[in-house]
Amino acid sequence: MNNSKTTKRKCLAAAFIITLLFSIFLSTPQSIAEVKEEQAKIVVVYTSKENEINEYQRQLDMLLGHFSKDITFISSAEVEKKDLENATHLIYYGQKKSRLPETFPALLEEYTGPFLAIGYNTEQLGAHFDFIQSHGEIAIDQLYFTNDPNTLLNASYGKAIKVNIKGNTEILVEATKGYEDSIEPILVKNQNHYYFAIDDIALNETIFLGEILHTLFETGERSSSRPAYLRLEDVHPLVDPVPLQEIAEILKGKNIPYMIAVIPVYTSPQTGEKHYFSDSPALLKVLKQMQKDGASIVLHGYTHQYRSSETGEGFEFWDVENNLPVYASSDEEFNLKEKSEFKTAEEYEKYMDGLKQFEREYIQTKLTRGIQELVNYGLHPLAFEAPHYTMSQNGYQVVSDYFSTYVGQVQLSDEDWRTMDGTPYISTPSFLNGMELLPETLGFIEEDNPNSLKDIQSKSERIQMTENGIAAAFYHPYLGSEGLYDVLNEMERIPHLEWIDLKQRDISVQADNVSIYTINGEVIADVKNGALLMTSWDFSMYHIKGFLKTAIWGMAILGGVAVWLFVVFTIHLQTRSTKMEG
Amino acid sequence: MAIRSVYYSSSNQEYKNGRVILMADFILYTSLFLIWIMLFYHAFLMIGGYFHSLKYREFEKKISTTGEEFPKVSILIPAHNEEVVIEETIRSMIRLHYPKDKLEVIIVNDNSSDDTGKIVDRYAKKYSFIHAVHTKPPHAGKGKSGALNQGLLASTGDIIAVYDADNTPEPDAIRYLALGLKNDPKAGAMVGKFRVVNANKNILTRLINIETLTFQWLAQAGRWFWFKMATIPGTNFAIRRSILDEIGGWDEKALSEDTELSIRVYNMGYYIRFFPAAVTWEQEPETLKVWWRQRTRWARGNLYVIFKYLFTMHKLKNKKVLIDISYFLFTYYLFFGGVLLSHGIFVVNLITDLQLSIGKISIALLIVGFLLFLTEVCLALSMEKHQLTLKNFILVLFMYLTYSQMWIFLVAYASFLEVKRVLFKQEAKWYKTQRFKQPAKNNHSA
Repeated sequence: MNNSKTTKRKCLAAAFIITLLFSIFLSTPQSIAEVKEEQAKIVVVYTSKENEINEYQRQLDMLLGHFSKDITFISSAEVEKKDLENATHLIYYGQKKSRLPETFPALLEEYTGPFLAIGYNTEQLGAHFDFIQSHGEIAIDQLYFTNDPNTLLNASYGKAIKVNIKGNTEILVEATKGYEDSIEPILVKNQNHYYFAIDDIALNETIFLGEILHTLFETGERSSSRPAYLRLEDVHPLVDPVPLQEIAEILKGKNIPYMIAVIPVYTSPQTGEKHYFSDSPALLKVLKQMQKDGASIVLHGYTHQYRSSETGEGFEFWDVENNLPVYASSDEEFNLKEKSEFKTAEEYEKYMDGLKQFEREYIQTKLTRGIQELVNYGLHPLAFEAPHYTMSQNGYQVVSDYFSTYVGQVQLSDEDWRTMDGTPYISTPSFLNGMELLPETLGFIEEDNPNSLKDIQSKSERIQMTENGIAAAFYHPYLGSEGLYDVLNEMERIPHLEWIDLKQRDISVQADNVSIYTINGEVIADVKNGALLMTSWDFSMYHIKGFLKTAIWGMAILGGVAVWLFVVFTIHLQTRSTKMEG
Repeated sequence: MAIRSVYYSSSNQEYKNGRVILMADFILYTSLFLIWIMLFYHAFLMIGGYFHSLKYREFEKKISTTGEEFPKVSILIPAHNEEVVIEETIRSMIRLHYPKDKLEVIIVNDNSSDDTGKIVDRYAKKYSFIHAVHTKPPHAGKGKSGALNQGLLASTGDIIAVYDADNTPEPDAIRYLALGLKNDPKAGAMVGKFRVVNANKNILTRLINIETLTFQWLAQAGRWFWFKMATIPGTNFAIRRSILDEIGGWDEKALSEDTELSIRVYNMGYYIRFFPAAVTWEQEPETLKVWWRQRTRWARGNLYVIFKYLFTMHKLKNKKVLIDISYFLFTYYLFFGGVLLSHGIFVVNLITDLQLSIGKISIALLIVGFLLFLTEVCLALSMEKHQLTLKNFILVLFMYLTYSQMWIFLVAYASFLEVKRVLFKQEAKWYKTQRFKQPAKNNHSA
């Protein structure tokens, strides 16, 4: 009896353990989702100004990146039959009204999968979008889900395409239209075909579009949790370690994993003097403790400045003065030559390649140095965030050679750094060349701006319109703990919040002699220490100085022990001689 | 290439400043380590000195209990114009507790122009164990080594002891030195302790008193305890005649005959024992001027030894001597250099901010360094009866800032003289003038 009972129990326990192991290996929701993502092959055919990819396509890219890593953008002027062959999901983005090639409808004829059309030119897509009829541009005010009229968001550009729907077409998103008090269909569905009636899209549009895309991509039951992160911003060598530590303790007490955006060099705006973390041992100690307590380090540029401006205020990877990528050294006057100044197209291309090569090397040098310097201090950056979120497309390509994860918002066009936006979901857009984007969606507390908390609130409400869009904010630690509590309170109000721990994600960071990656939530830093120390005298000096400091303390302590010993000896001899005399 | 200019072109000056600051840091750390290696070595020696102060009495007991025969001892006292002090010295010889048939006191009246000879002759007539050797040119005026060699020729003892003419040994001193050698066959020489007879004369002699006690307990006793080493001083020591015979007596050409003799004893495989039970009292300079000359001579002698042996180290048969040579090297070059550098950094840092990275620990080091000095000296004083007094304690505090700091100027001056001597090849001249104008340290009696 007893025996059989124990055997039974053992069997049960074994079965339980096996099931547990299997569930860990096989059935984590993430891995299932990944399998699905791998399967989706999205082809986006777009029509734009001069048929080049611009910020609107990239906005779409960021959204689609949530559903698949396999996204191909092809201009409607260049698309061929073979481009669509393996597509599981087809999207047409008619951002500009245009005459599509005659052959176009024939290309789409055989396609039967899910199809999303955005903007103009739907009538040229064969019979696919017969269920709508477009009637030119109209002004709109606010968008909302048809099934929940409380979900109002402003239309980013206040315009849409007027459409009439036919047959068995469902309206999923509508727009209000100012004083006319009329309602316009914006996102409609007919079987597996979807149409979105706004040509220029931004974050607000992708909130609506994104929610509906979950159905289109059949992502199945979505988890109820909402990913979130908090990033401590602009932590440079002159940051006061006291409030930082206070904040670290609050976050540790709340068991919140968070990120620290670290800038390795602070350049004084007055003197131009450079300060390094090695000059601020107290701060470094706090940062290391934070990292040990679960915080993740994010490299936030190397100096956070390009031309002489204060660290944390300046741009590092964008020449704001010329509103261009960094094409020349900071002390040089730079004027971009126009295409017309060149005799041939090749000459112009060669010129541009040269500039891009400069930019590439500039970013490479800074990233390599930034990663190596932090690693030398024992800080392990797991992601990158460009200063002021500004960087060219070329820049993101370079970053992707070093980092697997990008944090923040993204500059979407090389024409203007202000074309910067976020996206509601964690994503791997194609233009980030494989990097995972953890978008920032809530903003930050701005000093002397009484409305900044309200801004965070409204952004939080916006992101809560999505099922599991990311809630992410950043905070400047020099503002102290009070403001942090404001932000945390605001965020913790969001239901089902699940704090992102970068260490739990699939991270890989590469630079010369440094390789950082994560395994099961653990950060592994594979560093060729000898070679790393050889790359810069400063790296060796940091350790030599550390050793010297320890040695000197050791000397003082040993000296103290000797002093104590001599006092004891003296007392011993004195008492002995008194005894002898007595 | 172009990239590099982005970083460095605008910050060239700053880069240079950074180098200067780095350099200052480097110098400071180097000097600190040099200084502290020395401080720790001293602390280490002091611990040895403490243990020896507890232990040497065992050896003392061993000697007192063995009722064996006394060896024949010849005491050599070189005297050049010592009429002021020689009588007192002779009297102390008469008071010695040693069988007079086993003892001969040979006073070498070395070319004196005063009444030294007459005084010695008077006593020699009265006491059979006192002998006078009067040197006349060409065998006279060759310095202490020459006088000692003259005395050695006239002596018959198996053990040779040496006293300066201003010394008054305690009655048991010779007994301890001679029986010590007899009971310790590995000892080539037996070194006693000297005390300052005019300690209470003025502040200078009080400071010298504190210094000599510390030196003997720290350097002599400490080295003996840890390494079985001690340096033969100019006075109050005994050495086996066999050794002197083998090496041909004292080297009359040597600059510092004591150190030379010590090294030669080591080379023969003997050690030199420090035995504090054998006490002599001697006079110390009472004016700064005399003190300065005397110390300059010692410092130059030590500098000479470093020069001579540093580059011929491989020839030394007993590698133990290296401990002493490196000690001298450290004291006179590295420690001295460290002190100068750290003082220099301190001064420059007052004028311009060097942004030294050392921080508060430097203050801790200053305090611990001072406390080490204070406790070491106090420990040494506590080894003598009635020396660790409140008055002496206050003096030690005062000493750290004054007397000890004079050592820096002394070494600087001695180094300057030595460099000059080497550059202008003044060797021979220096030796003779110095010996004659300032014959030893013994013409300043109370």
